[in-house]
Amino acid sequence: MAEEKLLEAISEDEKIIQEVTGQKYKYGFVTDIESDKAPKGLNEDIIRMISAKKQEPEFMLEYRLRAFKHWQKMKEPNWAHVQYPPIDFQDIHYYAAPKQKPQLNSLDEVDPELLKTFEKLGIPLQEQKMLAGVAVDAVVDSVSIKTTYKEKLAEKGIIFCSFSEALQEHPELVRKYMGTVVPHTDNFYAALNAAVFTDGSFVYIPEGVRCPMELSTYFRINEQNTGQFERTLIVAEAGSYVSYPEGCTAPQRDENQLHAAVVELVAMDNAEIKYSTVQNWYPGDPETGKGGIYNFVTKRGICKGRNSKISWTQVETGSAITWKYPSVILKGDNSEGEFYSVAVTNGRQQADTGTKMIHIGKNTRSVIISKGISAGKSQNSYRGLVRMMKGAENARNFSQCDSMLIGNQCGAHTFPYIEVGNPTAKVEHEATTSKIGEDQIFYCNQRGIDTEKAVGLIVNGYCREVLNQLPMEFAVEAQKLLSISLEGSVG
Amino acid sequence: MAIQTNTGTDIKEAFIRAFAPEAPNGQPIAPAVKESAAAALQALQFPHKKNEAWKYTPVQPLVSKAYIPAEATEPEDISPFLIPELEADVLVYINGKFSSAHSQIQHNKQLCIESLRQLSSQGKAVVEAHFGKLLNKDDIFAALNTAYAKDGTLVYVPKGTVAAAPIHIIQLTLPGQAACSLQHRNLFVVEPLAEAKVVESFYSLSTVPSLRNAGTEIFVGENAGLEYVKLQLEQHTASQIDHTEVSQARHSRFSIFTITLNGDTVRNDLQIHLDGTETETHLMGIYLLSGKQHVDNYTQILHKQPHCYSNELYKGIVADQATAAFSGKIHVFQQAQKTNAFQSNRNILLSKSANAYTRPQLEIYADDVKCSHGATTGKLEEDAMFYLRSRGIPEKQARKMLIHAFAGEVVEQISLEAVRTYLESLIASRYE
Repeated sequence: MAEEKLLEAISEDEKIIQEVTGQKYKYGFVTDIESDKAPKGLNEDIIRMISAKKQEPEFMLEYRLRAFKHWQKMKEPNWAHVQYPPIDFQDIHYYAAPKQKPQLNSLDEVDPELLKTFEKLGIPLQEQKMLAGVAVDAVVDSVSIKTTYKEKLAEKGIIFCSFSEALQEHPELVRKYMGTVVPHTDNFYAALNAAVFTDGSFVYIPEGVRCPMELSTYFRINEQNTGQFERTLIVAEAGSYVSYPEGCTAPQRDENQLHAAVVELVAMDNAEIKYSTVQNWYPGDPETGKGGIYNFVTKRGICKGRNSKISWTQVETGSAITWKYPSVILKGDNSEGEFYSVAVTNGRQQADTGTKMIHIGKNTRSVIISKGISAGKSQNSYRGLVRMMKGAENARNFSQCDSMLIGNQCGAHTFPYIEVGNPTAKVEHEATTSKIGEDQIFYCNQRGIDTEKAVGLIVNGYCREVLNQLPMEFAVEAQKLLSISLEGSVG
Repeated sequence: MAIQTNTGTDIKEAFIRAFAPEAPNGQPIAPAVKESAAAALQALQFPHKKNEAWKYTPVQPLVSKAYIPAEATEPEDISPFLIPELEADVLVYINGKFSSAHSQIQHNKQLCIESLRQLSSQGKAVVEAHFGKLLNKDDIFAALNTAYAKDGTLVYVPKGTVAAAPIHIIQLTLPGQAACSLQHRNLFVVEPLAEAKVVESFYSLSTVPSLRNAGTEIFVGENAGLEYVKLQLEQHTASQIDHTEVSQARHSRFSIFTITLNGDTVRNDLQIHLDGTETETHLMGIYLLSGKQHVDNYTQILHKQPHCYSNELYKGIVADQATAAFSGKIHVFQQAQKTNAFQSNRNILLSKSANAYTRPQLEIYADDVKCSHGATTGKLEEDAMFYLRSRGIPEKQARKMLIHAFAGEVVEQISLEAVRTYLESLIASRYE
């Protein structure tokens, strides 16, 4: 019996691996949509133009300009363990919108090219939307096209819309929370984002409401030479719960694309936010590293209220460069922060990712589980900070950062920072680095599983702790992604 | 007594002058190396907070004091500074200057143990061959030491020789009139198949601030072994910036113990180059801090060759307003396959105002390796305390026992029994 189950499990995995091996970057295509584009470069006029185009309230424009002024004084950070040619920030289109259309009532009115894109991506926007039960706020380049399930959510008082819509309809909420977790002065890319962000998602869960479905957004960078500057803000009022999965794919192309998003989460008393990411942007040419996405993201949540919880789960397989540290500020007493991460690098990819857990309140707890896998000629770094402030009585942190190396051309690095200022706080950190188990591969080989499939199996097992945290349909996708990413890394 | 401070742009100049009253040329040892270090010094700057390496230790207050070079005086009796029952060759340095009257070298006749000021012709040849080959040239303090350090110890262990007795270096700081600057330089060369043990202990009797800028270069030859115990036992006024750099050849063994029980601001830069295959390295440390002490251990181990083993363990207790910082980097180069490297840092905080910063880092470019690091910070184990108390042991005594056990993991690895016993008694009286 048990054997059968095992075989079944193996064949299931095999199926997945089979499906994905031998294919090139699956999502590498460019949809041809006419677009409304700002000229290259960045100055106050461009910012005014973006703001005017989106018919934003006055405070937003002021905020953007403040951020822009601050950004001009800042220097690009260079401390991360990544290398890339300097970015010319004046050589980027800061605004691109798909053909502007009047309000759409049905899917028929949507540009068919766009629908095709969605289909290729497998976004459950049409029939799938019923099956999957996912409300999708699909962002193509920078403007939201279609939001579904809105009514159902509205019944519960949940606001789930694009950022620009939120600015029109709920300016007071946006004004109250935006920039409170990631201020425009936070870092170079956050400042840039604050100045030029074009759209994103806004979620507001009222008091005591448990969001009945996964709120999901698919990002897609579509326009050539366009920087993508998304901004997401999620506010969970007291006693509420929301799970927000986010996934991305991008077309294959030659020029590097900059992506500098900002995500802010606010959790009040007893609220819980679960934010999951599967990131699969174009990683660049495996030989030369040319053409991949630069992913410079600032993600941070604040557990503002007592007993609140924020959980980040990420599966990072794409992008030429990943620079991303989803963090939690544990301000409320008894609040909880979690960070589960799998970062896979292959080819010429470089990832410098990790988290920050800032313990301020009493009895705060945090868990960090990070799994790094490097193959090919890639560099994969974990960089994290755990800080126990003076008031963090009985706070607790446990971190585990494991790295796996496949092949002798890659690098795996760990740079944790632990700062403890309270004697009752307890911090534990451990990290290991080793190569993929030869005896495990041998075991699989012996049973007729070839090495490439064996690697997929072993890696999936290695990451199980993290994958288990993902919403169901995401976990399946993530497993596929892991195997695709490691294709050709052995033998 | 008020200590003067320097301000403005002349800080560096004043600082260098305090440590370098004489020109580098005209010195007996390696004049060319010294001159080039002095030239390099011009372009170097003091590290500031934005330098990753100095993130947790502010340099400004340390370097802006107006120091004057320490006067050489002679104490009457050095017996309080000897380690009981340690039969060793003793070298005594007073305010950085070698004191032949108090030193006694009688056991190791085959070795070359000399003050850098009084080198024999053999000693000169060893110094010419090794001096300045290792110590970081891009660090302002190391460069300053290379350029201007006037005295220090040469330990040369010829090929195939096993030292008959350990070598004990005593660095003593005596009271001065104003904040004083001290500098010394060590060079240990252990030739192939040779073996030695060196203990260096630091004491200060001064109540005015002092800053010691220390530099040590160590070469461990093929199949050779060296154990080096550093005991930093100075007053709460004494600061120290230490640079120790080690090169290990094939099949060599090296252990270093950095024990910091006292002092003001202490910064220990330790860098170990594994230049040969199949080496074994142990890096051990204890720091027991109180008051406003600040101790920063910055260690790097560079695995450049395959089949090397390194093990690092630093443990510390931080009380009062003290601050402990630990950085440990394991760097595994691409050809260093089959590396085994382990690292661990454990901190206990005893007070609300104490701080502990830990940065255990792995930078790995080879795949067939086993590397791990761990770090913990917390308070004294409550269960253990309860266990002892429930058996009628008073709290103070129980605490002592727990601290003894905590430090014991490092202390017991010191091979010299006399040093072990001495250290245990010091640790036992540390938090009374």
